[in-house]
Amino acid sequence: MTYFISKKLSRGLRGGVLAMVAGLALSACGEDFFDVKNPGQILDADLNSARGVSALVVGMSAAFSEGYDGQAFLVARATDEMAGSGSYNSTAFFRRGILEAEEVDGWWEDAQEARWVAEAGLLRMSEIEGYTFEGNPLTARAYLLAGFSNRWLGENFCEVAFSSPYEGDTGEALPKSAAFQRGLDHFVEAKRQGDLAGTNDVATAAVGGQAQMQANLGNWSAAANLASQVATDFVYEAIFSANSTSERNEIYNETHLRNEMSAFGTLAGSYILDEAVAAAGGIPEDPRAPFTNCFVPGACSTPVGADGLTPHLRQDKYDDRGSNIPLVTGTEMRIIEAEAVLNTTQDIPTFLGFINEARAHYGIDPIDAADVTGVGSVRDGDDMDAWSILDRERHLTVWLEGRRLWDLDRWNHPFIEGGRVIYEPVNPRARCVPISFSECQTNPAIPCSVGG
Amino acid sequence: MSRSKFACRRTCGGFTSLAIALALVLPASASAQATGSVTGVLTNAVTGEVIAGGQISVVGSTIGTLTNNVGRYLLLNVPSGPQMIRAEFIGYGAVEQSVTVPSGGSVVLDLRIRSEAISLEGLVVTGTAGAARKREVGNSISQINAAQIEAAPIADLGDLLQGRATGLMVQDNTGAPGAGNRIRLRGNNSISQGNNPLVYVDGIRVNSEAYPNDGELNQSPSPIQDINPDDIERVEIIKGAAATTLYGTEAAGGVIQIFTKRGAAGAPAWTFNMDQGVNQLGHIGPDKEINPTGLGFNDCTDQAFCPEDGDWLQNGYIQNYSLSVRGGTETTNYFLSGSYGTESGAIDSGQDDDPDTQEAGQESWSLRGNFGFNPSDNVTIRFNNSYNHRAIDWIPDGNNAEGFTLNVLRRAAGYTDDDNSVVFTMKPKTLIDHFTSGVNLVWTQASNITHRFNAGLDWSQADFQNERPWGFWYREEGNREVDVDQNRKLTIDYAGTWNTNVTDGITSAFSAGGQLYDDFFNRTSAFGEQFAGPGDKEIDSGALTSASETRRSVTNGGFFAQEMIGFNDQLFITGGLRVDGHSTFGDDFGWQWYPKISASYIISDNDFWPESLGEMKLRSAYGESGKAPGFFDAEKTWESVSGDDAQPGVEPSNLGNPELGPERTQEFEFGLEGSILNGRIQYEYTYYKQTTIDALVPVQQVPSSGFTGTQLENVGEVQNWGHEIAVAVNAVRLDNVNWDLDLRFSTNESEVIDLGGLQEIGLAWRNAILPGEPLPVFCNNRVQNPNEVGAIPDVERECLGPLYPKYSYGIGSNITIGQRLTLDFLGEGQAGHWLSAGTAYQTMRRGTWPTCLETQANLDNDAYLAGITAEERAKCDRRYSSYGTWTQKADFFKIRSAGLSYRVPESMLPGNIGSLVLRLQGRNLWTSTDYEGLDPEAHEDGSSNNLYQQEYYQLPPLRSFILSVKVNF
Repeated sequence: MTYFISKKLSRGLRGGVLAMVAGLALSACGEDFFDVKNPGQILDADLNSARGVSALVVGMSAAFSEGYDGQAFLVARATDEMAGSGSYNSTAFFRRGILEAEEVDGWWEDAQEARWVAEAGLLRMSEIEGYTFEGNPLTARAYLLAGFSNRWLGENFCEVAFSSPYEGDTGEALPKSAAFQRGLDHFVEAKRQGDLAGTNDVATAAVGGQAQMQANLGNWSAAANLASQVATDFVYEAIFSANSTSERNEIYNETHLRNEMSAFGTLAGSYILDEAVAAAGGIPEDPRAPFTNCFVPGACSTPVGADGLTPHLRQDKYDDRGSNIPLVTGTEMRIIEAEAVLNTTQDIPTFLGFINEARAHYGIDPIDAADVTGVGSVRDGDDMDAWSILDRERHLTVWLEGRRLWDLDRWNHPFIEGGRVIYEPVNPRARCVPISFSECQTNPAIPCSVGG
Repeated sequence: MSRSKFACRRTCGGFTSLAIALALVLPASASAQATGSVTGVLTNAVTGEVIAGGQISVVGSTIGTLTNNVGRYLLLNVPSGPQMIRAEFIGYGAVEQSVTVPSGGSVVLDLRIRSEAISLEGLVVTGTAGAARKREVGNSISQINAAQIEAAPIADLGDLLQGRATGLMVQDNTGAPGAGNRIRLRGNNSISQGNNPLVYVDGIRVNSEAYPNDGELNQSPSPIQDINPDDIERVEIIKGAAATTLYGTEAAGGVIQIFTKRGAAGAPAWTFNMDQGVNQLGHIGPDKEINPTGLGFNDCTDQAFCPEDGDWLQNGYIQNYSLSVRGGTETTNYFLSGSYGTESGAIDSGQDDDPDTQEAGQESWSLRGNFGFNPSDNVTIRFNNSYNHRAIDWIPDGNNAEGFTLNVLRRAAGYTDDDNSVVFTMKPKTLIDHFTSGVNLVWTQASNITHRFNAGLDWSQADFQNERPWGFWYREEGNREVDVDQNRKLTIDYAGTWNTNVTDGITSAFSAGGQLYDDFFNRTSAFGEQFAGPGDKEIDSGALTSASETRRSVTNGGFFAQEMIGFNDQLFITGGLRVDGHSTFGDDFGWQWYPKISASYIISDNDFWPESLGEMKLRSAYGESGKAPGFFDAEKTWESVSGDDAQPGVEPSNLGNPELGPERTQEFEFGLEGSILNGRIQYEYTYYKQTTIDALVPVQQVPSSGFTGTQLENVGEVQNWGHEIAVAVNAVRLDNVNWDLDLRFSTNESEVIDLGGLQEIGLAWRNAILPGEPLPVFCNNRVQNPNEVGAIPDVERECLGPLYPKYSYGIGSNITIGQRLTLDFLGEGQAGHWLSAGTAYQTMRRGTWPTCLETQANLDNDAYLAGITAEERAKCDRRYSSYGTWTQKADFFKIRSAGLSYRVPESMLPGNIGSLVLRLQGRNLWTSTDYEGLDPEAHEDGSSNNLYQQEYYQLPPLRSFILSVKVNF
């Protein structure tokens, strides 16, 4: 019996083993045998479809929003907008005015991705069979997002670079103005496409974007003319949402869920540095820069920042994780017009007219012309000269919108010279974000000394 | 020259080794000559315990058998007259003893063998095409036999491995029960693809990647800790590409193979084991003189909430019960086991008083059924099946605003407003189910042709759940998260071996085969938040829900051929080649070839070799292995995203590289091993050098070109090298006293040679990879004038490394008195590496780190500042302090375990009790270190397969005391 089983089994096994080996060999040689199965990814070629254009444009918006809140968070800590009261390693540098190439990879990469997704997406859209490029609302919005992403680059980074997608994008370090001009071109096209498509909000935002770019380029007459076309109550925003983690507003996350920065000791917090005053809740608020004074006992779960020291004055401008960040507002347009006045006619009543129109929008009392001490300058003024008023009004109007670093830079603001909120700064403070280490390490056209 | 060596020369031809191993199970054929029988018991010479499954044979014949489950054997039909009987068992030194067999009668011969960590004659199967004698193997291989360390406290595989082999690093990471270890074999050789070794159980590849981490815990359980340690019979470890070539792509990090216990012929033999013990944490943080409250753990009376006994610590209860039985017949055998255990952590969450809080702890149970069949004379089939379940309750910890350690240490500057008990209302838990089933079939087609076939499935599921209840202090509306991960690994493995005598004295063993591994991973995650009210929740109890899904499947397959030529059973030369295909190779890449060659030479078999120098083997090996790139790294892809408030969008994901292939680790090693003084001193030495070429480097794409992430490219090169020395000394061998000492010392150094032109790759926590530096290093601000008294600290960025131990050493001692009382001790040290004491740094910044209180109180006192060094000031002055100023040498020595066991005299036991062993054991008993953080082994995300090392608010590893009873009946 044993012998019978052995013989039978041996034959079976011999056949089985041979079949297994042969099967393995044959199947391994098959074309699909080693295919990776990972259904979440979309192959590049599959995006060349008219039905996919909407997803491309939503992707542009998503790429912008995913990074821009982080940029605004950086700017707030690196300037006098907010006290970096948190425990992040980057906060420890930024709040002292230190911005180094090794620390800013993520911000540079986010801005570049947002720019490239929009610009390359537009090129792809223009070639997709079955998609009507001209006059399409998606085209208009894509141009608008391309403009804002260039504004983001130009206003925040010391120099800019473009390696793609256009011919002539050589990757060399370029002055900020290259991004402003590129953004301006996109905004002009966004306005044209928005008008063709009948998307008025996009067209109006594109006009506001042009005003911002012209102002950034120093073309104040053009800037004022464009700004005047935008109504004071107009708002166009980067979209955030509670829907998914990546859509959420990081500033809300870092200041409501965490205590990473505080209005304590800032203009928004009326420069109060006395903890006793803070504890008593005696800090006045401005509706443009709302906050909750958590240092009042019982007001919040924790009274101090994540550093364990700084009274937590929690910003409430973005009081929900889906809070949008304004990109173009009519009130900023009035401020641009006011600044244009100071850069051109220096007519104080006209200047104040624009300032007070913006203040009125927020329900704030007007500034009396009699209180204005003259034109002055941001660098050498007193509290009530025109430039100092402009500085304060713009500071509060675009508070936490990622704009302050550029304002300090272009005004050569005295805060750059060792200004401090709470933490001991370096002197001079960084006035812009350098090109990242990740760029200079990989881009042969940019040695790492540039921007570093 | 010893008699046994001559005996072996006559009988142990290379080609017969496999045949012997297999033929031992076969009853002797009938003989025409006068015969008798030999019977007896095989026992451990030191402890006196019986050995089941030991191989007993008549030297010079094919007569052999295995000892049954009580160690007894019976050899039938042995030719009468003088015979030499040989006993061997894996991990033990073989013995031969002469006996005169009476014609038609029986003679009793009890045999005693001793465990030997380093032996030339033992059989190994890992890294070889089939079973091979160690004398034939040209690379180093470590074996750990569970029976050797029975007196030591072994809670999981990590405890079994830790400190017991050279070139092996097992780090504890935390005091959280259920968290995994970090395991490395010969350090790190991969920049991007992980450095965990492959793990096999009974020939089946099992999941060895840590179960998913969660930001609330910053630790992960490890699948290899699911296995019940009482089921493990032995472990074989091969450490580098020189030995792992036959495992192909994926094996560059080494291979650990676990062998579970098997059945043996005989009536059912039961073993019951019961452990009762406690987990503890001692004084936490700097010395008591400067830190009397133990950072607020040992004394919390000044905190807003503190348990009634005045501290946060407790004795966490440990209980484990296991029952196993083995038995069978000559043709069928079985090993069945089951276990149940619980353990609690050392933090008192107040759960006894408040059911709404959760305590850290683990509950586990396991079942195993191993079955062996010999359906014919030349076929052996084994079915090995196990099911393991673990339920782990965590307390939030680590880099977590809601974490316990962080908030206790930061005191009022924490997030909890100093009532740290609130964190215990968060309820993270992991439910693990792990099933492994495999079949091993060995068919001896002819006396010199053997086929081995393994097939099996490893399936594991980790169900992570976390709930913040409605009204939770940090998220008032509450939320719930569920992540269910499933991992399935399919193994199909065939190897055939053909042994021939080429000429007299020259043997050949040709092997060929193939393997197929199919991996499937599925993760389904769901999140719900904003509950309407209190009570237990499900995801859809939240007003806002979200979900995500990941499915990945890859296949790795390959073929190998190997030829071993033996010369006079003294010189063995092996050459082999493996050919591999893998799903993740680029389209332009194709199949990969991995060669190997090795030589083993028993120099002590030469006539010129003085007998006083005992046995010695010289060996050398070269081999290659690989690591495959990740999913879809070869393709240009976009990912689906959500934007514009839940609208579908796409963003760039991966640039793609059609030329992508595996990185290739080439390893050369040479060494020697042997014994002197009749085996009283055994030694082993190995030098190895690994070079990983075409290393997969995550090359940063030019951000201004749009794809801002990294793309893997085969452009890097990494080297690591080291020495491994092991000495096992039988210091005392008397009738009633035996003392074994094991000493181990290993070095491991690494250097990144090339990053494809990149200057630096940043990892998390300021860890970085730089050419010319170890893999990885730590880069941050360091004080340049540390010893200058009264000076302002001059801080500059500096890179320090290595972050993994450059030196490790172990001291093991096992003393047995009267074969009954055993004292086992294991100490281990690691040195030459750095670690950033992030806990101390961030706590200092909040003004609550004890060693900085005095300095911080005097920062405005110029006279005080004039008397301290720049280093002292930089540590405690926030203006100069950083992670870098708190990065320190992390050298340590720990008493890993100590155990005292006593085998009760059989005369005192009831008749049906075979043996009773009482044990008192301790784990992690003492630490010596100058490191100023919480613990030099407390690592953030330590069990994850990442490179970086950082200490950040993890509880120190637990200290345990266990009393156990083991009964055989």
